[in-house]
Parts: sequence; structure tokens; C-alpha cells
Amino acid sequence: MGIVGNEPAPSEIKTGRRALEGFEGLSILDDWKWFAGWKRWRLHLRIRISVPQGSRIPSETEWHVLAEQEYPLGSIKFFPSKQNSFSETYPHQLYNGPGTNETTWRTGELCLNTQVRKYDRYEDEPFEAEERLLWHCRRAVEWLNDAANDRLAKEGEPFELPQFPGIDKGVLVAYAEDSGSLSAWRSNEDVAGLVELFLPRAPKNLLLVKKFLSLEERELFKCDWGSYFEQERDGAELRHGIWIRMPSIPVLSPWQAPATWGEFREACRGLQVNLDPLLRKCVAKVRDGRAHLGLIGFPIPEKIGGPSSNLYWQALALPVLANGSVRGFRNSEGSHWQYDRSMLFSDNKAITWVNSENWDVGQVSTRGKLSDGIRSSSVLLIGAGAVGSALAELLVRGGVQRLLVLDSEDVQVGNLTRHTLTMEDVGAPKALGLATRLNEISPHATVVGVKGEFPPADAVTKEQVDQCGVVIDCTGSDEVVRWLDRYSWEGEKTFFSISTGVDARRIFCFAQRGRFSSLEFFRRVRPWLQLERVENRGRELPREGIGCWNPVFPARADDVWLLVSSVIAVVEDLEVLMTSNPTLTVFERVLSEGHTVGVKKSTAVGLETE
Amino acid sequence: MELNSYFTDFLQEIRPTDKQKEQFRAAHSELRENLNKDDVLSPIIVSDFLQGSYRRATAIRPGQGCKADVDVILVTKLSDEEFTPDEAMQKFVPFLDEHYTDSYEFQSRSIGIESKGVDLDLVITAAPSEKEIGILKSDAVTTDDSPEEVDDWRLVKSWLSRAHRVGVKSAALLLEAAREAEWKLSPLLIPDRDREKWERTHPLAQIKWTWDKNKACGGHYVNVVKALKWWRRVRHPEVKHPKGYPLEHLIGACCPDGITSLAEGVTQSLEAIVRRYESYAKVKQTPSLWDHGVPEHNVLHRVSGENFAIFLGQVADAAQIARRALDADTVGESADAWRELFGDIFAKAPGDDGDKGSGKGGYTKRTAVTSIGGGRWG
Repeated sequence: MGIVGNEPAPSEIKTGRRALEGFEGLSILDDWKWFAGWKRWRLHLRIRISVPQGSRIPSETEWHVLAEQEYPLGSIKFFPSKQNSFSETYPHQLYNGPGTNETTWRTGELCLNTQVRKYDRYEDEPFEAEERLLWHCRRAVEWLNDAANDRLAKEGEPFELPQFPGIDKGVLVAYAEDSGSLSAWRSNEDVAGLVELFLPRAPKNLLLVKKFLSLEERELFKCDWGSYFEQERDGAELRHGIWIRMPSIPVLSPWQAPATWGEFREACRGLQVNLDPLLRKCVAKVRDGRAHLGLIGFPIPEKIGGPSSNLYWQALALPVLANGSVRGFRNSEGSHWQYDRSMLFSDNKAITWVNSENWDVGQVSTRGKLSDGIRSSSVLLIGAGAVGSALAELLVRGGVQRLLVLDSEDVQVGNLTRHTLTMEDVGAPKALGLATRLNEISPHATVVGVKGEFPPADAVTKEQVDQCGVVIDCTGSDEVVRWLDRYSWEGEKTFFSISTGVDARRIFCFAQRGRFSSLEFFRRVRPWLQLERVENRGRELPREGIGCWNPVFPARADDVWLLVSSVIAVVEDLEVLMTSNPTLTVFERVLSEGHTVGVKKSTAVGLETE
Repeated sequence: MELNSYFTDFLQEIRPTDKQKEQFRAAHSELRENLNKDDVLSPIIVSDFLQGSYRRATAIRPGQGCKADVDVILVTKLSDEEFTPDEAMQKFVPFLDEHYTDSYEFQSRSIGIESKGVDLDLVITAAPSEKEIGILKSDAVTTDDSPEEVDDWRLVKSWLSRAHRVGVKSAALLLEAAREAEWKLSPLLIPDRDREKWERTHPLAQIKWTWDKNKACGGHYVNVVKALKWWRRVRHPEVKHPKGYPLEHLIGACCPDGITSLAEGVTQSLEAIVRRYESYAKVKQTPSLWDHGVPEHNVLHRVSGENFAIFLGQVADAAQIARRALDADTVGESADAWRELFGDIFAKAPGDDGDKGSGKGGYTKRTAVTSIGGGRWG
């Protein structure tokens, strides 16, 4: 593993090291050496800083810096040496364990290029040979100064969890907790209990929390999931585990997650929690010779020093507990616990932490969500064709959970050039195929597909339709527009009618709250249709199949999706959702020499806004 | 500034490459093996060992298109009273004709042999005194290990070369080697065909002196010699004398003990040479420097007064540049000055071209944006 070679370092790595010449407080103890087992070049450094009285960071610390052959590209890692450094784990550092016999460094790699951390003083990481190593060294010195002066975890910075050592990434436990559920937990007195999880068919190696129970098996909280998981839930394989709640995150100062049961006990003591009695009560319930999960819960804030925003559950794998007769122990609960405590939960036994994630809606959609207004609505989508399928995809990915898709057609192969569905769905109803696909997009989506026309014929569909708050027509059919006007809707709704013009050159988005006026719709849309007729005089539109009368509108997926993407901004616009004035927004592809070079918005025929 | 890491990289570029060292080793090992296997010659061979700059770790990489000069000493049993230098050397002709046909040449004091791209210089010696034969066969004498490879060499019986440091016994022997008193060897006699007499020389004394000096200088001495040899090659390539061993000897005489860095050694050596021999140069006289182990030899006897004066002028200039480089406050200024001495092989300081590098930390703040990076999310 640690085979050290004698080859000379590549010239760029040497350049990087020369750039450290004259760095105050930094001395090179051992020049670059190739560690074949690690496939890295290793530089041994010493850094000297001035530290305040009582600091646990020594004024002189030794480091091993690992760089890749491809320097200045590739990773650069700073590890504390086993000697002349420190053994605690700090924020912005990986778990600082003692490492293996084959290395002279500990495992506590410093997190030196987290963009988030220094966002306000953001400095680009340079990738030139003479700058990159130097940049890392300066960050390391900054880190040391911050650590020595207790400044690593600054108020207002995003809260970061410590690294739980030895975490098993092969399995993922997902739960859903938000500020609402945190309040609920707080008003609950139970601090330990049982948890039920289920295994969906896909993705593999995922366990979802189904419900939390008290020790007496009283149901406390249920986790709600979208249709994708709900469909499976009742038939899916179940797992039972235990849960224990803490007032705060159990860490050893300054920021080390417990690696052993002994460290866990110590961390709990720091929170005035006596772990063993709780553990004992819990394990008594899962003593069946099988392996079980444990969930340790503690509230965490969004920002350091801020109020707690949700409960975080960290999973661990419990060892298989004693049951039945065990050599040397009587077959009783007391004996079993004694055995467990001394053999399985002894101080020096390592804890097998398991990967866990919060799949609450707010957490999973941080990368991009639509406005609250549309996300919280239940939407009726009439027409699951090119426009409808693209729009639905963007809505669900943007966080819309409740969607009812209504379409009377089946998927045909010719649709696939600009539809989101695939060959698997050919021959089956568009509405159903689309609903299945949309449910697979989000753990929280509950999309229902109904094959049928608008207005709905049966009572069930009618009831579902009535419950929708937003109605979006993507059929491009004049008849449907008239039906939207005539239908007796239950309550106030926001209506959209979205369709493209010839060649999908333009997309027309009509919006009205309250009721849908087909008169207002046609008044606004007709001038555009007239314009398009003039523009396309003499063109013959292609037909689909021999003997078919219906012209197919020629437009590619990129054209359709570009326009649908532009329209989303209108759909999520809260003002539009709430205003009763009918509006028509038209987006048009800007062409140059036959190619699309942009999209512009028009509100009046022939007139441009921006 | 001392710019230690710059000098580390510089040394790597001027010392012989591993490949070259392997090449030399192949050539001289083969010669020595062939000699020892020869039916006619082997009975008269006492020992063979490397001498010269490769043995002392003061050799720099051969120049472009040049071959390395590797010196091999062959200690024979031929009595200097029975044989003239020429007669002794003639004994090798059949061997040379057999193994190195058309690639050898008789010189005044040695036989030049071209083998495997290396210029070997074979120097035969007359018989040493009986009591020294054993010593001349020992590892300490015959080893190829140089001061760069081992740091515990002593001229004692129990010293082991690296190749022989295997097995349990070697640890004990090495301990012995550290404590034993060193031998005092006598000079060897080598031929001078032109003057038809045997001349005294003491390669082992030179080797031992170099070891000891290097130790006293914290391992920097041999590097000072290499660096200054490089300076001569790059800045004064046309000059004939002094160079090679005489130059090395001069440096050895003037380099102070206890230097802590290569930069310091280079600067102080140059300044010391000037101080000590300024007065000679003024009157165009060459000083006498006595060879180690052979005090009647003046190492500088081939250097004319004229040439010595020129040489000292060059050293004086170099000493000023070195002092400027050593005393500079910024990496940029320092590296630029060292480059004046050593040429482009010595690395440039980082920073834009033409920018002297304002920071002490060797980091030039980017004034113009050279590349925009970071702040992008995929």
C-alpha cells in the first residue's frame, strides 16, 4: 500500500512546490514521494501559526498533502500527520480517525474548497500549476487559524453535519421531516420507540420510513409518500427498527460524530441523555435473531446558530441481538441485555452507521421549484400530447404533486418524436402512461391518469375534476375550449389554455381565473391565427399515413419544448393565478436563416414587448 | 533567498540521470569483469575501483553530444622497479585488442577506452606495499557507492557497500565500521609514459577528503561543486583551465564548513576564492594547491598565471551575482539572479513574464484575469 518510489516528480508538481518558497510559517519536511498504493504524490509539511491560550490546536502541526499525477488537475488533499498534529475532529473536516498502519497520516482530511463555506468571500480555485497548491496551503493555514480560534462554525453559515465514520453507502434510509413535523415531535413525550420501514421494488437498496410507533406500539406519526411508493407500500416488504430521539446532535467536541458505542455514550452524556436504559427498552422489542436498523433523531437548524428547522434521523445497523439461550447467560431479558451490553454494545465496538436522507418535499426540490402557488395546487391537465406531456413533466419536476391527466388517445409511434413517453407505452393510453412516468419522477407526486374525453363521462372522474384548482387545456381543440366555457365547475378555478401555432413557431397561453370565457379566448387568439394563415399561405401540411385527413403539425421536440419551457413562467405566476382578467401571452421563436436563435414574448399581434 | 526547493529541482537537472548512471555502471563493470576474467591479466591484478568525479558524486551530466568520463583504477602486482610505465601498459594490449578492438587509445597516463557510449579512463598502478593489498581489496575501497548514496563511508575493513548489506551479520559489521580506526594508505604509483616514470597519486585520499568535507557541510559540499561546475559550463564554456578536478579542489579549499544550504555554499565559496586569491590574480600568478595525500603535487600546475587572473575575474563577478541572489528579499529577484549564474535550467519564479514577483510568499497577485474559474454549477 505504501510503496514509496524514487521516481522524480512531474515538473508541474515541482512547480507547485517551488511556489511555496517563502511562505511564512510553512516548511517542507519531506519532498514529493510517489505512493504507489495510493496513486498519489505525497508532500510532508509543517505549518506554524500562533494559537491562543488553551487552544487544542498546537502551534506547529504536520501535514501530508496528497496530489495526483495529473496536477494541477485532480484532487489535492490535506491530511493531519499521525505525529505532531491533533486527534480531534473539527467542522469542515472529515472524521479524523487514526488511519491504518500503512499510512503516516490520520483520516481527517480538511475541506478546503467548499464553495458554500466562503461564499461571501468567494475566491476562485485556480488551476495553474504554480497557484493551485499554494492556494490550498493558504486555505489550510486559514483553516488552522479558524480552528485554533474557534471560528470554523460561524453563525449564519449553512449548518453542516459531521461525517459519521465508516458509513455504509450501500443502503439508503429515506424519511420525510420538516418544520411542521418537528413541532409535532416536540409536543410528543416519547423519546424512544419502534419504526416501520418498507422496501420499494425500485430503486434498489432503499428503505422508506412508513411510520413511527411508541414503545407500546402505538402509532405516532406516519410518513406520506407519493403514488410511486404508495402503490407498493401495502404489499412491500417491511422492516422493523428502533428509534431514539436526542435533544441535540450527539458529537464529541468539537465536531466528531461517535465512532464507537463508548463515544456515543459519552456524547449522550454531554446532552444529559442516558443512552443505555433507552437502548435496552428498544432492543427488547426487536430481539428476534434478525438484523434491525436504528434511527437516532435530533433537531438541526438550517443555519448555524439559527432555530431548528427539522428533525434529522441518522440511521445505524444494530447488531443481531441475543435471543434464546446464549452460552453463559440465562434465557431472560435481563441476561440478554447483559450479554448485548457487554458484547455488542461495549465501549470499543464500532457503530455501523448507515446512509440516511431527508426526502421531504422541501429537501428534494431545493434544486429548482416552481412558485408556491402552483405547487400547492391540484391540477387538471386535459390533453397529454406533445404540449401536455412536456408541460406536465416540467410541472411535476418543479414540485407540483397533485395532477389529474385526462386524454382519450393511445400512444402511437409517430407521437414519439415530441412526446416524453417511450416505446414501452406505444399502444397504451397516453394518460395512463404519462401518470406512471410522472409518479416516477418525484417521491411525493400523486398523479392519476384517466383515459377519456372532456367533459368526463363518469361520476368518479367528475369528482376528481371538481377537486382540481387549476385547469390546463393542452388539446389545441376548439371544441374543448367551448366545453371549458359551458361546463358547470364546482368553485373558482384558474384556467389555462395552451397550444402551439403552425410549425410550433408560436405558443399561445390564455389564462383566466374564475370562469373560462371562450369568447375572450377567441377574441384574443384569432388575430394570431389570421396572421399565421397569411404567413403560411400555399403551404401543404404533411399528413400522417395514407388516407388520413388530419394534418399533422410539423414541429420538432426542440421547438415544442423550447416554447413550453417559456410558458411555465406564466403558469406559475401568482398574479396570473389570481387575477380574473383574461390574458393571452404569446411566445414566438426568433429565427435567423431558418434556425431558432431565441424566444421573444408578444402581447399584441405584430407588436413586440421584449 | 535560499530557494531550497528551486535548488533541489536544479540539482536534479544537472546531475547524471538514472539512465546515464546505469550506462556508466554497465560500461565500467563490464571492463572490470573482463579484466578479472582474463587469463593473462587476472593473476597480476590486486584490485580495481572507481575514482574520479563519479566516485566522489561531483560529476555533472555530460554536455550535449558529449560522453561521460569514467575513471577506473586497476591496482596491479607489477613492480615499478621491474617495469617501465610503457612496458606495464603494453601488457594490456592483447586484452584490449580482444575486447575493445579499435576503441582504445594509449594516453600518457591512462588507456582511454570507448565502450557502450562511455569514455572509460583505465589507469593502471604499480604494485602497492604488501601490507596494503588486503585493504585495497576491501569493500570500502572497491565500492561504487558515492557520498550521495551512503552517508557512513569510512576507510575501514568492516565497512560494507550497499549491495552487501544483507543478512544478520551486516548490522554488526556496520557498527564495527563506525568505530574502527581508519586506515592510512600510501599513495599509488601510476604511469607517465611521456616522462617515462611512475608518478604518485592518491585517489583514495581525494575520495576520503570529499566524504569528510561533505559530512562537515551537511551534505551540501558535493552539490556546491556540481553547481559551480555547471556555472562554468554554462557561462564560460570556452575556458580551458581551471576545470575538472583542479576546480573542484579549489572549491573544496575555500568552501566553509557548516554551511546550511546549497545557496549559502555557492555564495560563500565564490566569495572565499576571491578573498583568498585576489592578490595572486593581481600579479598574474597561480597559487599552489597541494593535492590530498600527495603534497608534492600542485593541483593547479597546468593553470597559467594569465588564465588564473581571468578565472578570478570571472569568479569575482559570479560572487557578486550570487550575493545578490542570496540577499534578495523576493522570490522573483532571487530566482532571476540565480538564473544569471546558472542559466535557464534553474527554474523561473512564478508570475507573469516580466513581472518581478512582488510578493514575499512567492505568489504574484493576478492583476489581469488570466482565466476565470469556479462559481459554476452543473
